[in-house]
Parts: sequence; structure tokens; C-alpha cells
Amino acid sequence: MIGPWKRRDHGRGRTLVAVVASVPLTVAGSIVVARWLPGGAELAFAVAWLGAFLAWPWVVLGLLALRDGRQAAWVAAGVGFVLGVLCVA
Amino acid sequence: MNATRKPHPLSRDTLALVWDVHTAAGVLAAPLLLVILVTATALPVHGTLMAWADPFVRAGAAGPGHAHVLDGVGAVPVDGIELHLPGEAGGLAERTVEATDGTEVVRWVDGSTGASVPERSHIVRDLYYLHFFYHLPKGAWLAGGVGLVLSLSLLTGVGVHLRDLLPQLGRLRRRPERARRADLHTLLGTVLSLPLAVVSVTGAMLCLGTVFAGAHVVTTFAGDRGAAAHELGYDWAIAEGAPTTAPLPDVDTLIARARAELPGLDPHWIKLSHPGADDAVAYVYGHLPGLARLGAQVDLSLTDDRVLRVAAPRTATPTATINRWGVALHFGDWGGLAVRLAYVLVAVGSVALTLYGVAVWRLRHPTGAFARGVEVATVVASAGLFAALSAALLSAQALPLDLPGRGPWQTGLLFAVWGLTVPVAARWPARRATAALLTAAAAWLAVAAAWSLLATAPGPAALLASGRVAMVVTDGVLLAVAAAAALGARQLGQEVTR
Repeated sequence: MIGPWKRRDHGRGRTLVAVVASVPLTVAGSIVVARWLPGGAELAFAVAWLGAFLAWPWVVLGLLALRDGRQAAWVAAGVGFVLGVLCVA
Repeated sequence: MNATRKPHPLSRDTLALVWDVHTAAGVLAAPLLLVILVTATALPVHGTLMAWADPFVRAGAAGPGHAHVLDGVGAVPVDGIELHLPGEAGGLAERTVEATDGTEVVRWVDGSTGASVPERSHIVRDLYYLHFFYHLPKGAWLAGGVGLVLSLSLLTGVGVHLRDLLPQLGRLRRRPERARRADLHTLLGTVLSLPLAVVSVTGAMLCLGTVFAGAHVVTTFAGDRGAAAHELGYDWAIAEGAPTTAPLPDVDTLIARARAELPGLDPHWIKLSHPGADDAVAYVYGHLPGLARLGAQVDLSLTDDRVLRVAAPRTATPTATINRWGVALHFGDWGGLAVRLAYVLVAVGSVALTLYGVAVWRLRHPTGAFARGVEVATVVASAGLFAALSAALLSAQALPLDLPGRGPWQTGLLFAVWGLTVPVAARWPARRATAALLTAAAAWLAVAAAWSLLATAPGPAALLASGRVAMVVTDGVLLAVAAAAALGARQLGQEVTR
């Protein structure tokens, strides 16, 4: 196998979480930016629109950098919950 | 030597993670990415290829203007009429008539005389379809996903080489083989990282933008599609009335009206939506003059003289500006020929970058079914697709012009040849298979160019006399590519026997 999958730290879990959670987290983050970023709605939406495409790799790396799949899942769920609340608030 | 190297800015664990993600993203995406990149080598000059592939188009129009471009249309109500006006077609228009039952009839039309022929080549259509995976359901989403994975691979690649990005530029070891491949991969990656980052992100925006916009419509815009469309620059005037057989407008007049709103507009695409309906609309899209030739569009009412909408940089919202630049930067149509040729070079370099990356990884993983599968898929997606496209180019010249369904025959041939490359890649070692496929591609390209030069009318002398120099240059370029492929095949063959 390749990459972290061959190591003993259960990289498969982190990878699964990163692949599954990175897209909804990025989209939710974009929506939160569009809603809450000060400076005007037009500019906020523009930052949110372009920012999502630039941010996705960093979200993936951030989730992969966590200790294992369980921690990645908890972090993704926690951040996702906060972003979800901010999306509908 | 290592003692003199400065420590890596990333911690050991982080570097290991970044390295692993770079390898995994690159290797897993490589076959799909190569399909995108191989087609991207030709798409910046697609207009020239489109003209080269049909004798009627390579001759160009007999005169200026579009007075007769709609001749023979409008006897029955049609849903829409599209006119593509590529500059390389020498004044001809590619006219698509969309019937109310959804069927389409595509013809090349000389607007000055009304002469026309059916669309007889699918080569450019196939290139676009392959590039965006349009042959697959929701294929554009897959292409957008590959674009995102490429951006991840680029980011992690820069992370891996953060310590010595500049010194790597001057390092190109010839031995051992693994070092040679690694140095070439790093060198190409360093040089191409910025343009590749631009096309990967803009490609993802193009392919995934509509899905992403849907999430914002229901949240940011509280379900207001119109507001979202306005913000994104997609708020076109929509015709919903029933089309009729009312007289069709004069296309030159439409262009003049659009130019009155946007002086200097160079129109590339015109669409008449629901002609004859009470709310019929004409869209005139083109490029504006300037250092960066950005796209702009004027929506005109066909029932009165109203201008319904002007979409141009001066009227755009910030997000629409981002999308406008995204389209321009991805397709490379913001500049002239030099810019388009630079995009070709970036695509060729990116193919090499990806192949060297897979080759480096393969040397580390010489055994195993997974590694061999990736290798076979990589050969099929690179040399195999190149060979298939070469066969399609030959068919564009060699198939009888009056063959019914000539375009679909070309597409079928392309996929048949591409399919045949799978057993070649699976049966032989990668280098031998690649050499064989490059040899076949070289032969087909050379015959295609020779056929075009010697057997296709108008011939080179007539083309040069009429100023259609690009058609003859295309033959020369195809011969040069054939020679390069033959040389590459020969070198690979020598390495196999060494």
C-alpha cells in the first residue's frame, strides 16, 4: 500500500474521515464566511466562493494531521456542528 | 553533504504526512488526470484543429458578413439557434439548430453566401468531452474532483520540497535512474506549480460551481435563485414563450447592437432563444479588447430594441469577476496565440510531470498487482490516449466526406483504438508498451499530415494564397509531433533492449 496506509497508526481512519468530511466542512465554512464576514455581502460571498476551492486541500491536510481516525471524526463532527449552527443562525 | 542542508521547515511527522498525501493523491489521480492533461495539450488550439479537420472549414468563408447564415432555418418553430464563430474558421459559423423535440442539427455555414455542409468531424467535440468526462453521467463532477486532488497534490508537493525549491531547479542528475526521474519530476513540478495551481482550481470551479452554488442558494440566499444568479453572473435573460416561424433577425444587426453596448466586442457565440416568441432573446457573447481579453455578453430582446442585460467587467459583481477570470484563465483565451501556445507547453510539461511522478513511485513499488494496475492505467491514459487521438485525427482526413454519421464514426474509432491499447499496456512492460503506442501514434499523425497536405482540398498552395496559413502550419506541427513521438519511441525501445 502507499503512504500513511502502511503505517501502524490506523491512517485509513483518518483518510476516510478526511475524504468524507472535508467537502461538507469546506462548503459549510464557505457558507459561514458568506454570512458572517464583515465588509459587505457581495465581497463576503466572493471570498466564500473562491476561498472554498482554495481551502479544501488545507481542510484535508488538517484532518489527516490528527492523531487517528477517531480523533479526526470527533474534530470533524465538532467543527461541523459549530459551522452548522452558524449556517442557520 | 546532508550536514550542509538546512533543516526542513516542517516537523518530521508533518513532513511524512505531507509526503504520503502527495504520493497517494498523485498516484491515485494520475490516470484520470492524464486524460485531462493529454486532451489539454490540444484544446488551446482547438479552433485550428476544428478548421483543419474539414475541407469546407479550412477554406474559410468566401466573403465577410453573416447575411445568409440563417438561410433555410425558421420554416418550422425551433427552440434555439446557436452560432459559434471561431476566428480560425475564416468567417464561417458553426450553426446548431435545436428543434423543439430536443434534437440538434449542426452545420458549417458561409454567412456571405449561405453555402453549408453538415458537421463532419467530431475531433474537437471528443477532446472536450474527454477533458470534462462528459461521456460519463455527471462526469464534470469527476473532472472537478480530479482538479481538487491535483491542487492537493501540488500543495503537498511544494510542502515536500519547501526546504530546497530553488536549489532543485538546478539539479538534474543522470544516474541512477530513480534520481533522474525524481529530479525531472521535481524540476517540472517547481516550474509548473503556479500555472497548474491556477488551472486546477479554476477547473474545479468550472466543474463543481453549479453544485456548490446550490448549497449557497438554500442558505446564503435563502432560496432566492435570482439573487444568487445575479451574484454569480449567471442571471441571463430567459425566454419561456413558445417559438414561432416569425422572421429571424439579421445577425450582423445583432452584432452591431451588441457592439454599441460593448465597443470592440469580438463575438464568438450567438444564440437565439425561442425565436418568434413574445419574449425571444438573443445572446451575443465575445471577448473584449485589452491586455486580458475577458469574456462579455449582451442579452437583446428580439421583439423590440431593448438591451436586457450587459454582462461585462464594468458591471460585474466581485463573484462574477472571479468566475469570468476563472473561465479565461482555465481556457487560456484571455490572450492571443502566444498565450495559447504557452498553455500547450504547460499541458505537455504536466503530462511529463505526472508520468515522472508515477515512474518514481513505481521504482519504489516494483511488485504487486496494485502498482502494476496503476502503471497499466497510466500507460493507457497517456500513450494510449495519444495514439487513439492520432488515429482520430487521421480518420478526420481519411474517412469519406459523404459517409453518413462521419462524426460518430470518428468517435467510435477513437474509443475502439483506445480500448485496444489496454491489452497492449497490460501485456507488455510499461516502456515497451509506451514505445509501441508512440510508434503507432507517430505513424498515424504523419499519415494524417501527409494526407492533409497532398490529398485534401484546398491544397497548401491555395491555402497560403488565401491567407489560411494556419492550416498548413498545422500539418507541419503534426509532422513535428510525429517525429518527436517516433524519437521518444526509439529511445524507449533502446532502453528496453539495453
